[in-house]
Amino acid sequence: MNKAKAKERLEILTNIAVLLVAVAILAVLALNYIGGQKPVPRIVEGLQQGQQFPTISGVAYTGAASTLLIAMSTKCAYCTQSIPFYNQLADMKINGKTSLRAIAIFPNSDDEVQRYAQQHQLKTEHKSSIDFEQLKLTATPTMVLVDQNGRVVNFWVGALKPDAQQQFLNSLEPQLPDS
Amino acid sequence: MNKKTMAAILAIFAMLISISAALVQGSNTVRITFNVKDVSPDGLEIVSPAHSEFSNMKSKLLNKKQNAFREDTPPAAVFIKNKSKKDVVAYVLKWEVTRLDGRVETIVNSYSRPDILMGKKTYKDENLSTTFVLRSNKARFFSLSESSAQGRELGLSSEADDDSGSPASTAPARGIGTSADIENDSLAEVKSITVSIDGAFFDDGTFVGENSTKYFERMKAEINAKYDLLQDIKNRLENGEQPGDVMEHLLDVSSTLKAPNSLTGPDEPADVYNFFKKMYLNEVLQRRAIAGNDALLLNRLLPQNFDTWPNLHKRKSESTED
Repeated sequence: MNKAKAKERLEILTNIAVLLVAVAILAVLALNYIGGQKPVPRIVEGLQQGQQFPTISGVAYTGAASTLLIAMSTKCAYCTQSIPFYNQLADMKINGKTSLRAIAIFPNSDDEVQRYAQQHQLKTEHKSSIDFEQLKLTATPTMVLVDQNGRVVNFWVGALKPDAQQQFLNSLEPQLPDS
Repeated sequence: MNKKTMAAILAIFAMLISISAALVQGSNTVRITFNVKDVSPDGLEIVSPAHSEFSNMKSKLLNKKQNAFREDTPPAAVFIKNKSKKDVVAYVLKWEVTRLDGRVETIVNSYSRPDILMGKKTYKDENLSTTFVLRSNKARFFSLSESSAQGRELGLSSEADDDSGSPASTAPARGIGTSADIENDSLAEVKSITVSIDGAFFDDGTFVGENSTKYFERMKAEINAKYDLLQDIKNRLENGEQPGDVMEHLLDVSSTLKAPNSLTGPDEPADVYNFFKKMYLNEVLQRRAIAGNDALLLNRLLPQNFDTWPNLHKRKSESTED
Protein backbone atom coordinates (compact mmCIF):
# COMPACT_ATOMS: atom_id res chain seq x y z
CA MET A 1 0.00 0.00 0.00
CA ASN A 2 2.73 2.40 1.11
CA LYS A 3 4.81 1.39 -1.83
CA ALA A 4 1.95 2.17 -4.22
CA LYS A 5 1.37 5.56 -2.55
CA ALA A 6 5.04 6.43 -2.70
CA LYS A 7 5.13 5.49 -6.36
CA GLU A 8 2.13 7.76 -7.03
CA ARG A 9 3.77 10.66 -5.17
CA LEU A 10 6.98 10.14 -7.03
CA GLU A 11 5.07 10.19 -10.29
CA ILE A 12 3.34 13.46 -9.36
CA LEU A 13 6.63 15.06 -8.31
CA THR A 14 8.28 13.93 -11.54
CA ASN A 15 5.44 15.37 -13.57
CA ILE A 16 5.60 18.69 -11.73
CA ALA A 17 9.34 18.82 -12.25
CA VAL A 18 8.94 18.15 -15.98
CA LEU A 19 6.28 20.83 -16.15
CA LEU A 20 8.46 23.39 -14.36
CA VAL A 21 11.39 22.64 -16.63
CA ALA A 22 9.17 22.99 -19.70
CA VAL A 23 7.78 26.32 -18.46
CA ALA A 24 11.27 27.57 -17.67
CA ILE A 25 12.53 26.64 -21.14
CA LEU A 26 9.54 28.28 -22.82
CA ALA A 27 9.92 31.39 -20.67
CA VAL A 28 13.58 31.71 -21.62
CA LEU A 29 12.73 31.24 -25.29
CA ALA A 30 9.94 33.82 -25.08
CA LEU A 31 12.16 36.36 -23.33
CA ASN A 32 14.88 35.87 -25.94
CA TYR A 33 12.30 36.27 -28.68
CA ILE A 34 10.92 39.49 -27.22
CA GLY A 35 14.32 40.94 -26.36
CA GLY A 36 15.91 40.23 -29.72
CA GLN A 37 12.95 41.29 -31.82
CA LYS A 38 13.54 44.29 -34.07
CA PRO A 39 10.59 46.30 -35.33
CA VAL A 40 9.38 44.91 -38.62
CA PRO A 41 8.56 47.71 -41.07
CA ARG A 42 5.39 47.39 -43.07
CA ILE A 43 5.79 49.76 -45.97
CA VAL A 44 2.61 51.19 -47.41
CA GLU A 45 2.23 53.38 -50.45
CA GLY A 46 1.74 57.04 -49.69
CA LEU A 47 1.42 60.13 -51.80
CA GLN A 48 2.93 60.16 -55.25
CA GLN A 49 3.47 63.16 -57.45
CA GLY A 50 1.45 62.94 -60.65
CA GLN A 51 -1.05 60.45 -59.29
CA GLN A 52 -4.77 61.03 -59.07
CA PHE A 53 -5.81 62.24 -55.63
CA PRO A 54 -9.01 60.70 -54.24
CA THR A 55 -12.08 62.89 -54.26
CA ILE A 56 -13.24 64.49 -51.04
CA SER A 57 -16.89 65.04 -50.41
CA GLY A 58 -17.75 68.69 -50.93
CA VAL A 59 -14.49 69.57 -52.69
CA ALA A 60 -14.56 70.00 -56.46
CA TYR A 61 -11.02 70.23 -57.81
CA THR A 62 -12.39 71.77 -60.99
CA GLY A 63 -13.58 74.77 -58.97
CA ALA A 64 -10.10 76.35 -58.95
CA ALA A 65 -6.94 76.25 -61.05
CA SER A 66 -5.32 74.46 -58.14
CA THR A 67 -6.43 73.38 -54.71
CA LEU A 68 -4.22 73.14 -51.66
CA LEU A 69 -5.46 70.54 -49.21
CA ILE A 70 -4.01 71.03 -45.76
CA ALA A 71 -4.29 67.91 -43.64
CA MET A 72 -4.52 69.04 -40.03
CA SER A 73 -5.56 67.70 -36.68
CA THR A 74 -6.92 69.53 -33.66
CA LYS A 75 -4.30 67.70 -31.56
CA CYS A 76 -1.33 68.62 -33.73
CA ALA A 77 0.93 71.32 -32.33
CA TYR A 78 2.81 71.85 -35.62
CA CYS A 79 -0.56 72.47 -37.34
CA THR A 80 -1.46 75.16 -34.82
CA GLN A 81 1.98 76.74 -35.19
CA SER A 82 1.45 76.90 -38.97
CA ILE A 83 -1.95 78.61 -38.85
CA PRO A 84 -0.55 82.13 -39.50
CA PHE A 85 0.92 80.78 -42.77
CA TYR A 86 -2.34 79.08 -43.74
CA ASN A 87 -4.19 82.32 -42.94
CA GLN A 88 -1.80 84.20 -45.23
CA LEU A 89 -2.86 81.86 -48.04
CA ALA A 90 -6.51 82.47 -47.23
CA ASP A 91 -5.93 86.24 -47.21
CA MET A 92 -4.19 86.09 -50.58
CA LYS A 93 -7.20 84.30 -52.04
CA ILE A 94 -9.64 86.77 -50.46
CA ASN A 95 -7.62 89.72 -51.75
CA GLY A 96 -7.44 88.24 -55.24
CA LYS A 97 -3.65 87.80 -55.09
CA THR A 98 -3.88 84.11 -55.91
CA SER A 99 -6.33 81.72 -57.45
CA LEU A 100 -5.15 78.94 -55.13
CA ARG A 101 -7.95 77.54 -53.01
CA ALA A 102 -6.70 76.40 -49.61
CA ILE A 103 -8.85 73.94 -47.71
CA ALA A 104 -7.96 72.57 -44.29
CA ILE A 105 -9.14 69.00 -43.80
CA PHE A 106 -9.46 67.34 -40.42
CA PRO A 107 -10.12 63.75 -39.29
CA ASN A 108 -11.85 65.19 -36.21
CA SER A 109 -15.56 65.68 -35.68
CA ASP A 110 -17.32 68.78 -36.92
CA ASP A 111 -17.85 70.22 -33.41
CA GLU A 112 -14.23 69.73 -32.55
CA VAL A 113 -13.06 71.37 -35.76
CA GLN A 114 -15.40 74.34 -35.37
CA ARG A 115 -14.14 74.92 -31.84
CA TYR A 116 -10.52 74.59 -32.98
CA ALA A 117 -11.00 76.94 -35.93
CA GLN A 118 -12.65 79.53 -33.74
CA GLN A 119 -10.09 79.24 -30.97
CA HIS A 120 -7.12 79.57 -33.32
CA GLN A 121 -8.82 81.90 -35.82
CA LEU A 122 -8.24 79.62 -38.77
CA LYS A 123 -9.37 81.53 -41.86
CA THR A 124 -9.16 78.82 -44.52
CA GLU A 125 -12.13 76.73 -45.56
CA HIS A 126 -12.24 73.60 -43.47
CA LYS A 127 -13.78 70.15 -43.71
CA SER A 128 -14.20 67.69 -40.86
CA SER A 129 -14.48 63.90 -40.45
CA ILE A 130 -12.15 63.18 -43.36
CA ASP A 131 -10.74 59.67 -43.63
CA PHE A 132 -6.99 60.35 -43.91
CA GLU A 133 -6.10 56.71 -44.50
CA GLN A 134 -8.20 56.66 -47.65
CA LEU A 135 -6.28 59.75 -48.81
CA LYS A 136 -2.93 58.10 -47.97
CA LEU A 137 -2.19 60.82 -45.45
CA THR A 138 -0.32 59.76 -42.34
CA ALA A 139 1.26 62.86 -40.89
CA THR A 140 -0.09 66.26 -39.97
CA PRO A 141 0.32 68.84 -41.20
CA THR A 142 0.62 67.72 -44.80
CA MET A 143 -0.11 70.01 -47.73
CA VAL A 144 -1.17 68.48 -51.03
CA LEU A 145 -1.37 70.65 -54.12
CA VAL A 146 -3.91 69.25 -56.56
CA ASP A 147 -4.59 70.55 -60.07
CA GLN A 148 -8.06 70.96 -61.55
CA ASN A 149 -7.92 67.40 -62.89
CA GLY A 150 -7.34 66.07 -59.39
CA ARG A 151 -3.68 65.18 -59.99
CA VAL A 152 -1.11 65.65 -57.25
CA VAL A 153 1.19 68.44 -58.41
CA ASN A 154 3.25 68.56 -55.25
CA PHE A 155 3.04 67.80 -51.55
CA TRP A 156 4.83 68.71 -48.35
CA VAL A 157 4.84 66.47 -45.30
CA GLY A 158 5.36 68.27 -42.00
CA ALA A 159 5.28 71.92 -41.10
CA LEU A 160 7.10 74.17 -43.55
CA LYS A 161 10.02 76.14 -42.19
CA PRO A 162 9.76 79.95 -42.54
CA ASP A 163 12.03 80.08 -45.63
CA ALA A 164 10.04 77.30 -47.30
CA GLN A 165 6.81 79.12 -46.45
CA GLN A 166 8.16 82.25 -48.13
CA GLN A 167 9.32 80.21 -51.12
CA PHE A 168 5.82 78.77 -51.38
CA LEU A 169 4.17 82.19 -51.17
CA ASN A 170 6.53 83.52 -53.86
CA SER A 171 5.71 80.61 -56.12
CA LEU A 172 2.00 81.38 -56.16
CA GLU A 173 0.94 82.73 -59.49
CA PRO A 174 0.70 86.50 -59.35
CA GLN A 175 -2.66 88.07 -60.02
CA LEU A 176 -2.68 90.55 -62.86
CA PRO A 177 -2.84 94.14 -61.61
CA ASP A 178 -6.20 95.85 -61.88
CA SER A 179 -6.48 97.93 -65.02
CA MET B 1 -1.66 13.42 -13.04
CA ASN B 2 -1.69 11.04 -15.95
CA LYS B 3 0.10 11.43 -19.24
CA LYS B 4 -2.97 12.81 -21.04
CA THR B 5 -3.36 15.60 -18.51
CA MET B 6 0.32 16.34 -18.76
CA ALA B 7 0.15 16.55 -22.56
CA ALA B 8 -2.88 18.80 -22.40
CA ILE B 9 -1.17 21.20 -19.99
CA LEU B 10 1.93 21.34 -22.19
CA ALA B 11 -0.21 21.95 -25.26
CA ILE B 12 -1.99 24.84 -23.52
CA PHE B 13 1.36 26.33 -22.51
CA ALA B 14 2.71 26.02 -26.04
CA MET B 15 -0.43 27.66 -27.41
CA LEU B 16 -0.17 30.53 -24.95
CA ILE B 17 3.46 31.08 -25.84
CA SER B 18 2.63 31.04 -29.58
CA ILE B 19 -0.18 33.56 -29.10
CA SER B 20 2.11 35.80 -27.03
CA ALA B 21 4.82 35.57 -29.70
CA ALA B 22 2.31 36.45 -32.42
CA LEU B 23 1.09 39.41 -30.38
CA VAL B 24 4.64 40.55 -29.77
CA GLN B 25 5.38 40.32 -33.49
CA GLY B 26 2.18 42.24 -34.27
CA SER B 27 3.08 45.01 -31.86
CA ASN B 28 6.59 45.12 -33.35
CA THR B 29 5.29 45.83 -36.83
CA VAL B 30 5.67 49.49 -37.71
CA ARG B 31 3.64 50.99 -40.51
CA ILE B 32 5.74 53.35 -42.60
CA THR B 33 4.17 55.32 -45.40
CA PHE B 34 6.42 55.90 -48.38
CA ASN B 35 5.77 59.10 -50.34
CA VAL B 36 7.42 59.68 -53.68
CA LYS B 37 8.25 62.80 -55.67
CA ASP B 38 9.92 61.97 -58.93
CA VAL B 39 10.17 63.57 -62.33
CA SER B 40 8.46 60.84 -64.30
CA PRO B 41 7.40 63.16 -67.17
CA ASP B 42 11.15 63.50 -67.81
CA GLY B 43 11.75 59.77 -67.55
CA LEU B 44 13.12 59.62 -64.01
CA GLU B 45 11.03 57.39 -61.79
CA ILE B 46 11.36 56.31 -58.19
CA VAL B 47 10.39 52.76 -57.31
CA SER B 48 9.79 52.55 -53.57
CA PRO B 49 9.41 49.39 -51.43
CA ALA B 50 5.66 50.06 -51.52
CA HIS B 51 5.63 49.20 -55.24
CA SER B 52 5.34 45.59 -56.30
CA GLU B 53 8.07 46.27 -58.86
CA PHE B 54 10.54 46.91 -56.05
CA SER B 55 10.73 43.29 -54.95
CA ASN B 56 11.17 42.15 -58.56
CA MET B 57 14.04 44.57 -59.02
CA LYS B 58 15.52 43.53 -55.71
CA SER B 59 15.33 39.88 -56.73
CA LYS B 60 17.03 40.72 -60.00
CA LEU B 61 19.81 42.47 -58.13
CA LEU B 62 20.06 39.57 -55.68
CA ASN B 63 20.42 37.03 -58.44
CA LYS B 64 23.06 39.17 -60.01
CA LYS B 65 25.29 39.45 -57.00
CA GLN B 66 24.33 36.93 -54.37
CA ASN B 67 26.30 38.22 -51.46
CA ALA B 68 26.25 41.88 -52.28
CA PHE B 69 22.71 42.67 -51.31
CA ARG B 70 21.41 41.85 -47.90
CA GLU B 71 18.05 40.19 -47.68
CA ASP B 72 16.88 42.58 -45.00
CA THR B 73 16.72 45.56 -47.31
CA PRO B 74 16.42 48.69 -45.21
CA PRO B 75 13.02 50.35 -45.42
CA ALA B 76 14.46 53.65 -46.59
CA ALA B 77 15.55 52.35 -49.96
CA VAL B 78 14.50 52.98 -53.53
CA PHE B 79 15.40 52.22 -57.09
CA ILE B 80 15.68 55.14 -59.50
CA LYS B 81 14.86 54.35 -63.07
CA ASN B 82 16.12 56.44 -65.95
CA LYS B 83 13.66 55.76 -68.75
CA SER B 84 14.83 58.77 -70.75
CA LYS B 85 17.17 58.60 -73.72
CA LYS B 86 19.84 60.68 -71.99
CA ASP B 87 22.23 59.90 -69.15
CA VAL B 88 21.81 61.75 -65.87
CA VAL B 89 25.24 62.94 -64.74
CA ALA B 90 24.42 64.95 -61.61
CA TYR B 91 21.45 64.63 -59.30
CA VAL B 92 20.26 65.13 -55.78
CA LEU B 93 18.08 62.85 -53.67
CA LYS B 94 16.17 64.34 -50.78
CA TRP B 95 14.92 62.10 -47.97
CA GLU B 96 12.46 63.48 -45.47
CA VAL B 97 11.84 61.26 -42.47
CA THR B 98 8.76 62.17 -40.45
CA ARG B 99 8.80 61.02 -36.84
CA LEU B 100 5.75 60.11 -34.78
CA ASP B 101 5.95 63.44 -32.97
CA GLY B 102 5.73 65.29 -36.30
CA ARG B 103 9.39 66.26 -36.56
CA VAL B 104 10.81 66.03 -40.05
CA GLU B 105 14.47 65.21 -40.61
CA THR B 106 15.84 66.05 -44.01
CA ILE B 107 18.80 64.24 -45.51
CA VAL B 108 20.11 65.39 -48.86
CA ASN B 109 22.58 63.39 -50.92
CA SER B 110 23.99 64.54 -54.22
CA TYR B 111 25.90 62.56 -56.83
CA SER B 112 27.71 64.37 -59.61
CA ARG B 113 30.20 64.14 -62.43
CA PRO B 114 31.11 67.79 -62.99
CA ASP B 115 33.74 66.79 -65.57
CA ILE B 116 30.95 65.62 -67.87
CA LEU B 117 29.20 68.95 -67.42
CA MET B 118 32.54 70.52 -68.36
CA GLY B 119 32.45 68.92 -71.76
CA LYS B 120 34.07 65.52 -71.20
CA LYS B 121 32.68 63.59 -74.14
CA THR B 122 34.68 60.40 -73.64
CA TYR B 123 32.93 59.48 -70.43
CA LYS B 124 30.82 56.89 -72.22
CA ASP B 125 33.99 54.83 -72.75
CA GLU B 126 34.36 54.40 -69.00
CA ASN B 127 32.87 51.56 -66.98
CA LEU B 128 29.93 53.66 -65.93
CA SER B 129 28.33 50.90 -63.90
CA THR B 130 30.92 51.64 -61.21
CA THR B 131 29.99 55.31 -61.08
CA PHE B 132 26.80 56.99 -59.95
CA VAL B 133 25.85 58.11 -63.47
CA LEU B 134 22.20 57.22 -64.07
CA ARG B 135 22.50 55.75 -67.52
CA SER B 136 19.67 55.75 -69.97
CA ASN B 137 17.46 52.66 -69.62
CA LYS B 138 19.09 51.66 -66.33
CA ALA B 139 18.13 51.81 -62.68
CA ARG B 140 20.17 52.26 -59.54
CA PHE B 141 19.58 51.27 -55.94
CA PHE B 142 19.81 53.88 -53.20
CA SER B 143 19.40 53.56 -49.48
CA LEU B 144 19.46 55.97 -46.59
CA SER B 145 21.28 53.37 -44.55
CA GLU B 146 24.68 51.90 -45.12
CA SER B 147 24.24 49.27 -47.79
CA SER B 148 26.64 47.24 -49.82
CA ALA B 149 24.24 47.63 -52.72
CA GLN B 150 24.35 51.43 -52.57
CA GLY B 151 24.31 52.82 -56.09
CA ARG B 152 24.30 49.38 -57.70
CA GLU B 153 23.09 49.44 -61.29
CA LEU B 154 20.40 47.35 -62.87
CA GLY B 155 19.24 47.13 -66.47
CA LEU B 156 15.64 47.96 -67.22
CA SER B 157 15.35 45.62 -70.14
CA SER B 158 15.97 41.87 -70.14
CA GLU B 159 19.48 42.45 -71.48
CA ALA B 160 22.39 41.12 -69.48
CA ASP B 161 23.82 43.67 -67.10
CA ASP B 162 27.43 44.52 -66.80
CA ASP B 163 29.04 43.22 -63.71
CA SER B 164 28.79 46.24 -61.53
CA GLY B 165 30.73 46.73 -58.37
CA SER B 166 29.48 49.10 -55.77
CA PRO B 167 30.28 52.60 -56.95
CA ALA B 168 30.60 53.83 -53.40
CA SER B 169 34.28 52.96 -53.31
CA THR B 170 35.13 54.95 -56.41
CA ALA B 171 32.75 57.86 -56.27
CA PRO B 172 31.50 58.67 -52.81
CA ALA B 173 28.20 60.43 -52.51
CA ARG B 174 28.44 64.06 -51.64
CA GLY B 175 26.01 64.95 -48.96
CA ILE B 176 24.71 68.48 -48.85
CA GLY B 177 22.70 68.06 -45.72
CA THR B 178 22.83 66.27 -42.44
CA SER B 179 23.64 62.62 -42.60
CA ALA B 180 21.75 60.01 -40.67
CA ASP B 181 21.53 56.30 -40.55
CA ILE B 182 17.92 55.37 -40.21
CA GLU B 183 18.83 51.83 -39.23
CA ASN B 184 20.47 53.13 -36.10
CA ASP B 185 17.45 55.16 -35.21
CA SER B 186 14.40 53.73 -33.65
CA LEU B 187 12.37 52.56 -36.60
CA ALA B 188 9.29 52.50 -34.44
CA GLU B 189 9.41 56.29 -34.33
CA VAL B 190 9.20 56.74 -38.09
CA LYS B 191 5.79 57.59 -39.48
CA SER B 192 6.58 58.32 -43.08
CA ILE B 193 9.44 58.67 -45.51
CA THR B 194 9.32 61.01 -48.48
CA VAL B 195 11.96 60.64 -51.14
CA SER B 196 12.32 63.05 -54.00
CA ILE B 197 14.58 63.65 -56.96
CA ASP B 198 15.01 67.30 -56.13
CA GLY B 199 17.18 68.00 -59.13
CA ALA B 200 18.89 66.22 -61.99
CA PHE B 201 21.18 67.26 -64.83
CA PHE B 202 21.09 65.30 -68.07
CA ASP B 203 24.34 65.00 -70.00
CA ASP B 204 23.25 67.80 -72.35
CA GLY B 205 22.97 70.22 -69.40
CA THR B 206 19.18 70.17 -69.10
CA PHE B 207 18.02 70.40 -65.50
CA VAL B 208 14.77 68.98 -64.13
CA GLY B 209 13.31 68.85 -60.64
CA GLU B 210 11.79 71.00 -57.94
CA ASN B 211 15.18 72.45 -56.95
CA SER B 212 14.19 73.19 -53.36
CA THR B 213 17.82 72.55 -52.40
CA LYS B 214 19.14 75.11 -54.96
CA TYR B 215 21.07 72.27 -56.56
CA PHE B 216 20.87 73.90 -59.99
CA GLU B 217 22.51 77.11 -58.72
CA ARG B 218 25.17 75.21 -56.75
CA MET B 219 26.12 72.98 -59.63
CA LYS B 220 26.16 75.91 -62.01
CA ALA B 221 28.40 77.82 -59.59
CA GLU B 222 30.83 74.90 -59.51
CA ILE B 223 30.99 74.67 -63.30
CA ASN B 224 31.16 78.44 -63.75
CA ALA B 225 34.09 78.67 -61.33
CA LYS B 226 36.21 76.56 -63.66
CA TYR B 227 34.76 78.07 -66.82
CA ASP B 228 35.52 81.63 -65.66
CA LEU B 229 39.03 80.68 -64.61
CA LEU B 230 39.85 79.04 -67.93
CA GLN B 231 38.19 81.83 -69.90
CA ASP B 232 40.27 84.38 -67.97
CA ILE B 233 43.48 82.49 -68.80
CA LYS B 234 42.46 82.20 -72.45
CA ASN B 235 41.63 85.90 -72.76
CA ARG B 236 44.89 86.96 -71.16
CA LEU B 237 46.96 84.75 -73.44
CA GLU B 238 45.05 85.95 -76.50
CA ASN B 239 45.70 89.54 -75.42
CA GLY B 240 49.41 88.85 -75.50
CA GLU B 241 50.17 88.40 -71.83
CA GLN B 242 53.16 86.18 -71.13
CA PRO B 243 52.37 82.80 -69.50
CA GLY B 244 54.53 83.75 -66.52
CA ASP B 245 52.52 86.95 -66.03
CA VAL B 246 49.26 85.03 -66.29
CA MET B 247 50.49 82.68 -63.59
CA GLU B 248 51.44 85.59 -61.36
CA HIS B 249 47.96 86.99 -61.88
CA LEU B 250 46.44 83.66 -60.82
CA LEU B 251 48.65 83.68 -57.75
CA ASP B 252 47.34 87.16 -56.87
CA VAL B 253 43.75 86.08 -57.36
CA SER B 254 44.27 83.00 -55.21
CA SER B 255 45.80 84.95 -52.37
CA THR B 256 43.04 87.58 -52.31
CA LEU B 257 40.03 85.37 -52.99
CA LYS B 258 37.91 84.87 -49.90
CA ALA B 259 36.49 81.38 -49.99
CA PRO B 260 35.18 78.95 -47.39
CA ASN B 261 37.63 76.22 -46.39
CA SER B 262 35.01 73.54 -46.90
CA LEU B 263 31.48 73.13 -48.07
CA THR B 264 29.15 72.13 -45.29
CA GLY B 265 26.00 71.39 -47.20
CA PRO B 266 23.37 74.02 -47.78
CA ASP B 267 25.94 76.58 -48.91
CA GLU B 268 25.07 79.67 -50.86
CA PRO B 269 25.94 79.42 -54.59
CA ALA B 270 28.40 82.34 -54.19
CA ASP B 271 30.32 80.36 -51.56
CA VAL B 272 30.28 77.29 -53.79
CA TYR B 273 31.67 79.40 -56.65
CA ASN B 274 34.48 80.85 -54.53
CA PHE B 275 35.31 77.50 -52.98
CA PHE B 276 35.72 75.81 -56.35
CA LYS B 277 37.49 78.77 -57.92
CA LYS B 278 40.07 78.70 -55.14
CA MET B 279 40.35 74.93 -55.46
CA TYR B 280 40.96 75.09 -59.22
CA LEU B 281 43.42 77.96 -58.79
CA ASN B 282 45.36 75.97 -56.22
CA GLU B 283 45.38 72.96 -58.53
CA VAL B 284 46.89 75.08 -61.32
CA LEU B 285 49.48 76.57 -59.00
CA GLN B 286 50.43 73.17 -57.62
CA ARG B 287 50.85 71.80 -61.11
CA ARG B 288 53.02 74.80 -61.94
CA ALA B 289 55.45 73.81 -59.25
CA ILE B 290 55.79 70.36 -60.83
CA ALA B 291 55.58 71.28 -64.53
CA GLY B 292 58.09 74.11 -64.47
CA ASN B 293 56.93 75.33 -67.88
CA ASP B 294 54.11 77.89 -67.66
CA ALA B 295 53.34 78.03 -71.40
CA LEU B 296 53.01 74.27 -71.72
CA LEU B 297 50.90 73.98 -68.57
CA LEU B 298 48.46 76.72 -69.58
CA ASN B 299 48.06 75.26 -73.05
CA ARG B 300 47.26 71.88 -71.57
CA LEU B 301 44.73 73.38 -69.22
CA LEU B 302 42.72 75.17 -71.84
CA PRO B 303 40.06 73.14 -73.58
CA GLN B 304 40.13 72.98 -77.36
CA ASN B 305 36.69 74.41 -77.54
CA PHE B 306 34.38 75.79 -74.88
CA ASP B 307 31.44 75.02 -77.14
CA THR B 308 31.57 71.37 -76.05
CA TRP B 309 30.56 72.43 -72.54
CA PRO B 310 26.86 71.74 -72.11
CA ASN B 311 24.68 74.78 -71.53
CA LEU B 312 23.26 74.29 -68.04
CA HIS B 313 19.62 75.26 -68.23
CA LYS B 314 16.32 74.43 -66.61
CA ARG B 315 13.85 72.53 -68.74
CA LYS B 316 11.84 74.87 -70.92
CA SER B 317 8.50 74.24 -69.26
CA GLU B 318 9.89 75.66 -66.03
CA SER B 319 8.66 79.14 -65.35
CA THR B 320 12.14 80.43 -64.60
CA GLU B 321 14.35 79.63 -67.54
CA ASP B 322 18.04 80.17 -66.88
